[in-house]
Amino acid sequence: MSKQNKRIVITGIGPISSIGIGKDAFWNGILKQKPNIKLEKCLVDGELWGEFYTHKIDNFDISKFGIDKDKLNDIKEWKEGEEIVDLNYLIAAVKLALDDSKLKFDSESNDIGLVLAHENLGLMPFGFKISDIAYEMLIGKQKKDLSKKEFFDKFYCKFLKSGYDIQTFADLFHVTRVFNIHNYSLFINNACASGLYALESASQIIKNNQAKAVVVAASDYPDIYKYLWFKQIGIYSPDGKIRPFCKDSNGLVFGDGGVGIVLEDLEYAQRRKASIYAEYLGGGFDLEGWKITVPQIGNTSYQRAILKALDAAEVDKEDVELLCPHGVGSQPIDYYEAKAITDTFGNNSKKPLITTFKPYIGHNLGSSALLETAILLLSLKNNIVPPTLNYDSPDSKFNLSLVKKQLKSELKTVMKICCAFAGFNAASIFRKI
Amino acid sequence: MKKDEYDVIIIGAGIGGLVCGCYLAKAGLKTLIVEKNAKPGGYCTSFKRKGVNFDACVHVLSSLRKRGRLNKFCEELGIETRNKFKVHDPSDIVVTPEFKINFFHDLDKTIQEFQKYFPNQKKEIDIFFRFMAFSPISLILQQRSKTFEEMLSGYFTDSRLKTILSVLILSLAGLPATEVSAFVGCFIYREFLFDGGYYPIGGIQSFSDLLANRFEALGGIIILSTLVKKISIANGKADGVILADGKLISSKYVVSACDARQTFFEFTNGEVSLERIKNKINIFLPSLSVFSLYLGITKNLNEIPELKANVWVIATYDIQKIYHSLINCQNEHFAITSSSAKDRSLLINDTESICLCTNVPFKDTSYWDGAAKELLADRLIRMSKVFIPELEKHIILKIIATPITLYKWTYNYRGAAYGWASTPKQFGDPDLSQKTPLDNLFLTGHWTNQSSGITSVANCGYDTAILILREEGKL
Amino acid sequence: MAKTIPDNLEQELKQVIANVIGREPEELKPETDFWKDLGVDSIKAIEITVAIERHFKIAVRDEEIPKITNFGQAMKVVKEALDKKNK
Repeated sequence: MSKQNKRIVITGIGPISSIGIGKDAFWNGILKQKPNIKLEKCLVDGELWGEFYTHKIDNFDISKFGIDKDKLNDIKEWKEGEEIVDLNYLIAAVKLALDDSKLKFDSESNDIGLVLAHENLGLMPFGFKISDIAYEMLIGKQKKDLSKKEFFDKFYCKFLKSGYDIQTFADLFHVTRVFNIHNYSLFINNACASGLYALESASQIIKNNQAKAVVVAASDYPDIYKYLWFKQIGIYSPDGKIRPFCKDSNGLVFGDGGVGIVLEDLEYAQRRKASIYAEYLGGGFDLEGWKITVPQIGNTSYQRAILKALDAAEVDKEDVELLCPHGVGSQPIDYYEAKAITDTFGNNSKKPLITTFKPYIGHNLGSSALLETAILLLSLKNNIVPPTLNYDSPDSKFNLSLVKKQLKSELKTVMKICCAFAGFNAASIFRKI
Repeated sequence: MKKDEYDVIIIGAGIGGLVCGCYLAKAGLKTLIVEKNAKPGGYCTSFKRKGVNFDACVHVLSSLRKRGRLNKFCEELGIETRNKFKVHDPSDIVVTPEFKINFFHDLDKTIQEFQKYFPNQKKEIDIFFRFMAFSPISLILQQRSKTFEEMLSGYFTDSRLKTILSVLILSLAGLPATEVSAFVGCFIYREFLFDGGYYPIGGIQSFSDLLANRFEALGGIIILSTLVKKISIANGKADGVILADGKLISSKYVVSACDARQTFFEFTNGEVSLERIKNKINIFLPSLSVFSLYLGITKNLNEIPELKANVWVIATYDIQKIYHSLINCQNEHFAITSSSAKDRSLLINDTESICLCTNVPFKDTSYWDGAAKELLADRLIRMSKVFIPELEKHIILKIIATPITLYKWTYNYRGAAYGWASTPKQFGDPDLSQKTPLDNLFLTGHWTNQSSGITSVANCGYDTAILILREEGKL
Repeated sequence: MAKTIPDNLEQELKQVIANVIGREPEELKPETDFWKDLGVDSIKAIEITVAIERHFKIAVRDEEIPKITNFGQAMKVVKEALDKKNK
């Protein structure tokens, strides 16, 4: 008896990044191989607090995407005028993806779902808000005998509503409301692997008959707080270049942006004659469970995730033609990843091509896996393998050879893998049909 | 060189495989049919519960008039059809919110019937029906890249009429008129609706048994309850089959008369010459499946003579709404058919046998495990009450077949009732012709590029046999 | 059951680290810098932590790992962890 399950396909891609907004501009940006890196200065009341390199989105205007203005205003009102950039990225990404998929649905009753993925939505604005309020209160004229309760009362009521800033159900509410999505929807936060978990969840939602199509969207807008944290643990590149698997790698660089991807039931997509990028064959997931910021060298959790994906997708190792690793450009993480790759594919007579995308768009944190999956899918569609930029001094200890020059290649089966902070290891497989 | 055990091995004893086998055996080829079930027929089978006969999927036959296609095959194969069938006229009745329209054997009578209800479209009705009934096949083939909707709109403006003419295509091809190839639509009218209503005495199984018996009488061998695991390939040719128990049976030719995905993804997996077809069908949309509610009821159907025909019920005239209701399993359209009404000898212990059936997508196994099954069954019973008053009070036997059942019975991909969906894009695809790129491997049945339905698959079986006989130099 | 600090903690720890970096235990003096003098990099530093945790059945916090730059530091981290366990 053969498998009679529902099959899941990708019918829409809506990327937002420093090299291009919208699928065509984005892909052209990839082909041009010219990342947009800026030195971002963080000023506090005119004073320079810190600066860091990042892949910056220069011009982003949420009003230019054809999104319901009233609904956007409702969000603005709710947020009391505050512009939450990465929430806007999410909304724009969903719109771009829906437009690309040409999925039409009525507003009152539909079976479309939404899965959002973000590592820290609202955290930094919230952090700034609290810092502002605390600072004002501390330097302000307060009674010397101010009781703790009085302080709490005053302080607390100022940011009571801000709790919603970091309670992600509120953001899920905002985004589903903008698009009239009424079906089963989720918010996912699995660190940098969020995107791959989100794809798998979306696939299961469809397979469980909860929805015919699910929009998966992720974003990030990394700011000074995040930079300071990464800098402290020694993982931020001081010269603004991600050098995956290189001798002289010195850390990661952030990238703004996000992406929306539409997943659908194949038969539903066929009946509405949708354009199909690829089939989502399945994913494999494994939690290492050791530390949050450091991978456990010697552990085979990542290998397990990759094998689980191959198993779920019923794909042979030899059939994977292109592999896209996480490639953060930090020695221990690169090493951990290289080991998993060589353990799995090293002894094959036929090895996959390997290329990574962070040097193009930066590390988009919680959205990185999904945004890089978008590049992978476009590579698959166009039969073009973008090279790994900055791969000038490969480190032989990794025993890997990445694509250095743009290649034309008949691609059919590709794989995205990710070893995230907190040991979230994931792998997803896609096949052109 | 080892002598082949057989000249031809056919995988699957559906009507396509049986007709193919009969023609081959008749020509003197040593032919084996391997069938996984305990009885031949595929979808064309019957089963009994508590002595009551139910037809599984196929409920009536067509094209058995004197010059009808199915009749021609029976004649050529020496199958006696006289007194073997009950013939009902009208053969089909469409029940709409407003009226009941009959399809008669006499085309003029059918035309007058439609003209009675749609006087504004008198002329067009006459032209259209005659076109569908009498045009040479070549003219109809020219229509294949159009949709049936486009063809209808070329004649009619009354949307209710268009819906009525489309709804039968929806049931018999699983696609709305806007999606189905016009050729398929015409073919269904010509071969099914204009010459329908033939019921094998004793139940649908009798017809499959007639073919199987004739096959054996012509020298063919059928082995039942036997699963094929692989098609044996050597020196760039198909040269036999390997059964599930590992036994190899060699033959000069192999015909796959079963599910296409099985053929290309399992039986011949890895065969380079078939990669192209495999990749192509990987993205093909299968036709809808069927949900059937079999009821044994105590209501005497002499009181409802309409049930001698196939009754097609629609709750609305909006064909897109009907189609989407099927896709979402909130069906606004279904058929009522009764084997005991068609053949009174099947009335056992005063229990009439009826079947309420409708098209649905496969979904997945968990969907049909849950409440969905009973909900849809209840829905069909409720909608039938307009025809069979107080139906639920008369039910003494209730059996449900879901798409899962259809899959398990035939291994047809996602329980598809009619092979690949007959869209203009998919229908007639040259890669799915009966001769495959692998030497000595042929296809027959509703997964090839011919149409579906019993008459069509019989025709396909015949065509496949002719291809092999030509190759053998016997023609 | 409270686990006491082993008498030969220093020796055990030296052996554990030495096995990871492929050196003799005697080379591990308190001030010998792992990174500058013994060729330890960020990858090896993690391997040392893994080995220490496994051997002594303790957990080292994420932020402590980069601080283990010489044997003295390693001892401090292990002792603190074992003390915490004994409480």
